Amino acid sequence: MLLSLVLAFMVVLSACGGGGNNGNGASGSPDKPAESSQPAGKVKLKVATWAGADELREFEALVAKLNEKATDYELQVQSIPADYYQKLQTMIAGKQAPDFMWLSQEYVPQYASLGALAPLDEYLSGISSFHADDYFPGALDVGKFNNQTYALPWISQPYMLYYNQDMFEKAGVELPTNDWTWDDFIAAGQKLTKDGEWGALINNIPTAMYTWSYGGDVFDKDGNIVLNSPESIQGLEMYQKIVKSGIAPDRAQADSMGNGDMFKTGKVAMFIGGAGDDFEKTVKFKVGMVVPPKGTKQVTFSWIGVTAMSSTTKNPAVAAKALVDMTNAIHQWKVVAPTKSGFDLIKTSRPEKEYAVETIRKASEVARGFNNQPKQAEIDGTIWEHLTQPIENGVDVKKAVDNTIKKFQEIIK
Amino acid sequence: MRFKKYEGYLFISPWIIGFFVFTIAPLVFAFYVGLTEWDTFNKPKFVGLDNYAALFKDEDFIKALWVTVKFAAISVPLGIATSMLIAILVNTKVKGVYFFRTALYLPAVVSGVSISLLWKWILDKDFGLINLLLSKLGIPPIGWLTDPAFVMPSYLMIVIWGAGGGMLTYLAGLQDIPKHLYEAAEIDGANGFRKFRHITLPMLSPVIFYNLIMGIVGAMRKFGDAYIIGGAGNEGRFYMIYLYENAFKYFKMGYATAMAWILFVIILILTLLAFKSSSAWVYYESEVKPRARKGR
Repeated sequence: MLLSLVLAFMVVLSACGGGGNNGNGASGSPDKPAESSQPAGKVKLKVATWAGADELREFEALVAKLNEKATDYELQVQSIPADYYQKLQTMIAGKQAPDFMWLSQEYVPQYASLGALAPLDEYLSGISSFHADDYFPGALDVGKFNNQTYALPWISQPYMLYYNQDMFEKAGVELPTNDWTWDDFIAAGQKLTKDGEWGALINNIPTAMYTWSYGGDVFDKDGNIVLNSPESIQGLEMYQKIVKSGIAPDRAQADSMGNGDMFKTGKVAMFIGGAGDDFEKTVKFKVGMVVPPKGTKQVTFSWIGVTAMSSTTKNPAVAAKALVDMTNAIHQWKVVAPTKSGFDLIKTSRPEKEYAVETIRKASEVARGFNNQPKQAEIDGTIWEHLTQPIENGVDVKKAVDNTIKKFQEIIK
Repeated sequence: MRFKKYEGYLFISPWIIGFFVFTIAPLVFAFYVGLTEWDTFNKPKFVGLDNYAALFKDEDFIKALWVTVKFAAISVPLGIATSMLIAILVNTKVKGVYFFRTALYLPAVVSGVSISLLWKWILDKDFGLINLLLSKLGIPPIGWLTDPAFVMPSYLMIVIWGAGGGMLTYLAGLQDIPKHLYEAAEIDGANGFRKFRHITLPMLSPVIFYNLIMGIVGAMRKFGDAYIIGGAGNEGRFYMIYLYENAFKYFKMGYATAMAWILFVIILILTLLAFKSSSAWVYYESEVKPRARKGR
């Protein structure tokens, strides 16, 4: 009898659980109003981050300092080191979105167009510690969608051309300069390519970057397809020319070595990678770096991370202020900062990069991200399948472009 | 009496409620989601059968389905044959048989992710173990995962390697076969093959049947190692990988759910076919079959 009483109790419990589950979509959470109606209490704000281990500890220390100073908010770090975007998506779908979330640049339009992010402009204009003109222009752009700012960048790593000075000197080839064109790049690469050694590793470079080099793009700022413009075609043809020149190992081979290891082990003389890569500390040869080669225009890709604010945050005005404070603080932590004022940090936090600070600054000024679209994930898949691989396999560039655009139209229709 | 009945329900209620809340309700919901366009952040939009219609025009979907069916059609019989062979081998009385049993069963104990990472290295074109061994024989390196033609053979290799994990049920089945059956056959002058064909196989048929069903379900739902290992030319993009991409990369939950339903129907049909065929080849000791009676 006692047992059945216990069971009956359990039934009641689980029935409540079940009922709550079913009802949650319609009724909304009952514990909402407390915080916003009490201005005296601090607004609690959750920050979702993919940081784990050391990075997480450093980030938590940064947040703790902010919380000490803050009078109106308290940040809480929510670490999701694995399956980050999948969990984030589930949290948002379950109406449990964190107030802030780290995003890689290509997710901003997707999340914004689905209504998950709060537009920031109306709040930012009133926050004195936010300086839009301090940002490198390309960095702030990736946080925008439909002319609204949805996210603030906290890191912007421009891609640089690293070179193995020893290999250049041994082969008697003149060192790269900031004014190199892609043709100079090929010419030097050919002199450096011989048995088991290659001039360059290029598979890191996003295909779109070649179109930018000649003033083209995949999508323009307004979301129109411009991949078939003469400028874009010219860039892609240059890409095919580089592949055909044989100065780089094929993609499969390079992929299997991963992360610039071929450069580290002296198998390739040039490598295009993020300005923060740790070659100076990990290789035995002398490393140099310059701004990547240009076509008709000097430009480089930048890996940009941003923090976005959830559209469900309860007190957006306070949250926006917290976002600016947090972002400014990260600029004093992460290298390379997306701001002119934060930029010099690299000299003290990464002394081995000091020799190239002015070069990196130059790259930061011409660095940019993609003109991301709401369906960027599908677009990226299409570019890889119908543009990058066919071009590498020698398919006519215009034909590959036509096929890619046909797929794009299906995706964005 | 009536009170007793309610008490019974009360006792099983934790399970019943769990079943309704966590199995039936999501199932009903999933049926609805399959008929909608749903980005997961906003409310689902009802589109009827559009998802299903679009799927059959989607080249990537058809490719993923083809890759998966091809894999299932080869890997399931291959897995059954290898597992059974291993079980028969370790069912003999040789020295160190316990060592072999343990060693062969190891693949089932190691975590799937670490196995996948290991295989990714073994199959690597430039630094992989297989190509290293091949190079000693003077064979040029093969792009196991980078050459579309070799992706499927690579996955089948992993199946064979993991066959030891399936050995256990066969081993149990083998040890269940009464010795006197073999003794009787020997007196009748049966050789090794005939003993295998007429005693071992029929007596193992329920185990084979079980493994066939589990194998079909497992192969059609392949995800874990393919997610990590991948493969060129979309040859490693199995059905569930494409489903996952739609749900969590492209935010097309309705489309992905429709895919899940199609997979469910495919697995259901295959399983039903297997069950239908079972009366012809699966032998249960407790069943008395008409044919056996006639034989007497």
